[in-house]
Order: sequence, then structure tokens, then C-alpha cells
Amino acid sequence: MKLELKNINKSFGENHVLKGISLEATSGKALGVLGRNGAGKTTAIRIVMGVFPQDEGEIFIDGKPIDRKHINFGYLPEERGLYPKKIILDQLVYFAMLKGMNKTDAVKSVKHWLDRLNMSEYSNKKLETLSKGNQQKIQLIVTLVSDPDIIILDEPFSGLDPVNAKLLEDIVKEELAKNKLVFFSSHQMNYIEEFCENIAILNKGNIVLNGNIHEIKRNYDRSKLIIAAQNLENIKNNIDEESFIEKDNLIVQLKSEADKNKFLNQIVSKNLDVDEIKVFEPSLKDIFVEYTEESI
Amino acid sequence: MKQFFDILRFELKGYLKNKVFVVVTVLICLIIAISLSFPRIKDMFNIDSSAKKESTQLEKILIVDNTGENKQYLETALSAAMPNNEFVFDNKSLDEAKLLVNNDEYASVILIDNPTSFTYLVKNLGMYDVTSDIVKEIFKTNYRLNQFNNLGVSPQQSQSIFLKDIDVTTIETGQNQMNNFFYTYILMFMLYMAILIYGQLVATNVASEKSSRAMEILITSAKPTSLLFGKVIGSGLAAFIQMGSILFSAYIFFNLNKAYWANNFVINAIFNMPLYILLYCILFFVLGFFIYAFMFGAVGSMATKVEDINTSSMPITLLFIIAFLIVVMSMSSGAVDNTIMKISSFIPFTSSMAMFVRICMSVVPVYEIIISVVILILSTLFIGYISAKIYRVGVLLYGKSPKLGSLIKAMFHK
Repeated sequence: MKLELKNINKSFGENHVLKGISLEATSGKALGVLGRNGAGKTTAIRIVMGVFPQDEGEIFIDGKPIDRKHINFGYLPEERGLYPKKIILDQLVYFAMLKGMNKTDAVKSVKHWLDRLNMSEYSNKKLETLSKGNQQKIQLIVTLVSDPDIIILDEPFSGLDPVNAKLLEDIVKEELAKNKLVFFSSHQMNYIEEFCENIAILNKGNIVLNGNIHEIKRNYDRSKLIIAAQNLENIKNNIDEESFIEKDNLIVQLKSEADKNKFLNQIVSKNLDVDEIKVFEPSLKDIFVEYTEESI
Repeated sequence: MKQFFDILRFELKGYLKNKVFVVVTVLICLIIAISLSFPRIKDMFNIDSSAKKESTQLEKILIVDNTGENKQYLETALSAAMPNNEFVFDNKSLDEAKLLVNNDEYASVILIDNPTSFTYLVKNLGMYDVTSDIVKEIFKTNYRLNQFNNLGVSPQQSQSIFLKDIDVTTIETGQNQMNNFFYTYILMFMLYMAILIYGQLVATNVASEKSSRAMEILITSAKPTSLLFGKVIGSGLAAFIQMGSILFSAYIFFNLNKAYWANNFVINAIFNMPLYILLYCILFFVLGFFIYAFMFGAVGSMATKVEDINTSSMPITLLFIIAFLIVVMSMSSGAVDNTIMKISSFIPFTSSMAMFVRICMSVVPVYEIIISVVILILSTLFIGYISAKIYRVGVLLYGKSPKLGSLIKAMFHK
């Protein structure tokens, strides 16, 4: 399955929120949309979900204009919230049935997910009695209970502790393994880096960077090396290239990418003790800051 | 359609599982059961209560008769007319009498100046105090008897002249408004309460889904028409179940205690209402409820917080209260077929009550009823459609309320 957004424009009054964005997501791979607060992530997601219409542009599923009636979406909205005063099991079954499931299947699926997220003990409690993090998990069950083909998660990690974040990460990976299409937004780079193959950076309503995360990194300047060793000072003093120590590594700036082998020869010939040498790749955070910095 | 029924079931279950709803319904049924069984219960304790009555002191009334002529006559007549009072004859001045009444030594004082005038002294004049009227009647009769006597008519003759009553036969070709008034009033009042209470509940329900942010999930999972219709019809059924249980318990307990109420005109008038009235009541309740509940739902969707509901639903509530007042005023004046009622019975916002009352208390041509019902059905569908549109737009608006123009534009955006 392929989800395409083409040239989407959206304004709220004077505020031009999305300025002709185009995105593409495919089954089995996660697309992470990154952006600072107010960049337009949630607006883009709400347009995909049909919460409100776009002013211009089109959305396609497998090349055909989207028909939301025939797609099983799983949606985790940014604004979390269910029925605080209702029994958890009851409302989960209700939401599953709204998605078209019959009661038996709904109950079965709800029980499966409650179990998967270690929430079975709360099934007969009212939602409001749960902690915020646990309420988030219930909300996640609402998203996944109908076994959706397209999973849209708006800031899924906000409010989760590291253990629960790991749980969510595992679940998303399982869904991807089942060839589901996962589309999510976040400003928490570490999670995105963990399992997103494709990213799009949204800044002030424009896509400023879009593509495979590894390719993006590979396209960066590869003339910087990162060296791990027991005695960094010794290496620093014995090499010709400009270098500095950062944390537990030595960063070496080559004159050009082609000098890599020359540098390796130097290490070998000078018999310097090295644990690891690799090309320095910017982290997603570095890339993100680079592309969105001017708006800070 | 499956979605609509899922929503309907969920909403209805929400009411039926709500403790307040259950407790209130049971409580009202219980109150009705006890009230209707009251004469039977009273009978069971009758021996005790009659014993109690003797021990309680009779209210004392002081009679100051300055004419000094009527003591014997007054004593018999007063004791016969007011058996629960004790009458004391004594000579006091006006000031002394005032003091006695003020100190609660006597419930009241009657100062007789001459056979055709007296002064009635009482501390607080009660709303239903008829003592002076009774005394006045006694004086009047006494005066007439004396005058007739002076003219040579014997007391027996004048007595028979006084007591002669006129036989009246009334044949209603239409409705007996006196009989119908009570059940019409009760049914209309139930209609009024149910629409207002449940309408407000629909509004609160929608607004709380919005403020708890469950709305975004709902609106992306289900069609807005299913959501609004499911909610409104679910609430309607809950109201219906509540009203039904109340009426049913009233019916059961009236029949159980029928013998005890044989002489009560009001109660008998209520429970002997014709079946067609009840059916009309159900029809107008359903239609009247939906037209208002849809509007309340739309209003609820526009509110940001549950607290806003009271102010934003004010126009609808006022419209409804005005309709209620028009009908009640026409009812109590007896002129249920006046022009304003005739007009009101074709306006969808008032017709559920106005037409219902006219059917109960007057004779309305069938074609008028049909026209009124058709207008009401069509308007209900139209209001339902518009409300679903407003609901779709309203539920996702947070913060300030939208301007009317942009709202209408958004409503018809595909």
C-alpha cells in the first residue's frame, strides 16, 4: 500500500499552515515527519484523516484518490482523550465496533491488546483512575484494536516513560513486520532514528528535507572521521591532520573525502593503537537543527 | 447503519448504567406508589390517628357578642359549620381582643356589633382562611330568616325556599375541559420537563466528549450523522423508558388502590383519560423531543467547555419556555382554540405542545392534525440534517466560537 500527499495547501484564515507539501509512505516502512512546534505536522495528519479538508492538493492511496470509507485507519491523535468516566473494556469494545468489528471480534481483539500492553488488570476500571502513561496505553489500544492497514501516530512518544516508549517501539516494529503502513510525527529524534527508514522534515509549512534516512546521512560531507582509542592524546599529537577530542572520541577533519586511505596508511605506518575508525555521520538531531535552525 | 446502532446502544447503556438515572427513576416511581397508596396506608393506621385527634386541642375562637341576642343561634350554627373549633363567648373590648389574638390565646376573635356586621380579628390571615366567610354566611341566613319571619313566612317555609336547588344537565358535544384539564396539564408538564432535561443532557454529552477530546477519535471513526442521531435517539429512548416506568407505576398503583380513590374527581379524571390521548402524547413527545434535542446537540458541539452549555443553550431554552407559557396561559383561560394557539399548533417549535393541548381540550379537525404532524416531521428531519452539519464543524472547533458566515461556509464544504 502506498500513501501519497501531493501539493497539499491549507490555510486557517491568514495563517498559511501547509505550503504545498508532498509526501509518500509505503507499507512495511515507517515515515517519520519531523518538525518544530507549529510546523504543520498535526495539520498534515488531520488532513490525511479527513478531520478537515485541504484547500488544495490531493491524497492518493495506491495511485487512486483516497476513499476513507474503505480504509481501515488506526489514528492516535495529538489531543489524547477518551471517556474518563467509562469502564475501559466497554469503551475499547465500543471504539472497535465503530470501526466495523462485530462484538465477539472486538472483545477478543481488546483482550489481546490489553494483555500485550500489560493492562489487563485495569480492564474493569474507569479510565480516569489510571495514570497518564497508562491512559496513553489505552489510547494506543484504540488505535490498534481494529488491526488497521494504515497507522497514523501523532507524537506517540509524548508522555511515555522509557519502558513504555520501548514497548511502543516494539509494537510499531511488529506492525511494520506485518507490512502495515506507519506514518507518524514527532520531535523526539532518537525514537525516529531508531525505526524510521524515511523521514520528512517540515518547517514552517514546507518540506525542507525528505528521503531515506541513511541516504540523507550518506550525502553529508564524509571528510570527517571519528576515532575511538585508549590514548586519544597520543594519536592527536602524532597525526598531521587537524583534530579535536569530543567526549570519548577524536574527531579528525580531512582535507577531502579522498584522503581517507592516506590517513589510514599514516595510522598504520606510525603504529598508532586504534580501536575503531569510522566516517563521522551527523545525527538526526544535527540534521534537524541544521534545517530548522534559521527559524529559531 | 451498524455504526448508528452501535452508537445508540452505547449511549442508551450509558444512561441505564448511570446510578443517578436509575436512582431518580426508582425514587419517582416510589413516590408515586406511596402517594397513590396513601389512603390505604392511612386506613391501616386509622385507629391510631382518631385517638390522636381527640388528644389534640381544638382551635379556640372567641365570640364577643355586643348585641347579646344571637348567642344560642350562633353557638349551634357555628359548631355545626366548624366542628374542629371551640367557641368561647365573652365580653371584651377591641383592644383586649387584639391582645388575646396576638398572644395566641385565641386563633381568632369575632366581634359582633349588630346583626348585619361583624369584625374578624386574626393574627396572620391564611391563604385558605374561610372562617369569616362561614360566619358571614351564617349571619346572612339568620338575617334572611328573621326578615322572612317578620313578613309572616314561617321558618319552615323559608327554610325550604333556601334549600331548593336547581337541576342542571350539561351535554358536551366536544370535550369536557374540566375533566381533561388535569391530565392534559400533567402530560404537558412531563413533556416539558423531559424535553428540557434530556435536551440539556444531549448538549452536555456532546460538549463533554469535546472537552475530553474523545471527539477526534469519534469523528474519524464514525459518520457525524450517525453520532448525532445515535446520541439524540439514545437519549430519547432513555427519556421514554423513564417516563414509561413512571406512568406505568402510576397506572399499576392507581388500579391497586382504585376503591380508595372512588370519590376523588381529579385523580379519576387523570386515570380515565382516553387511550388516543396517550398515543397522541407519545407522538408529540417523540417529535417535539427530537426537534429540540437536535438543536441542543448542535449547541453542545459549538461549546468549548461543558460550563458554556448553560449560556449557549439559553436561546433554545427560552424559545421552549415561551412555547410552554403560551400553551399554559391559553389552557388556564380555557380558550385553547384562540388565534395564537392555532398559529402555534403549526409552528414546529411550539406545535408539539400547542397541538397536543388542543387535541386534549377541544375538537380539532383531522386535517389540521395531519398538517401539523407533517410540518413537525419535515422540520425535525431538516433540523436534524442542519444540526449534523453544525455538529461536524462544531466538534473540532476549540477556542473562540466561529462567526456565523464561516460556519455556514464550513458546513457545506464537501
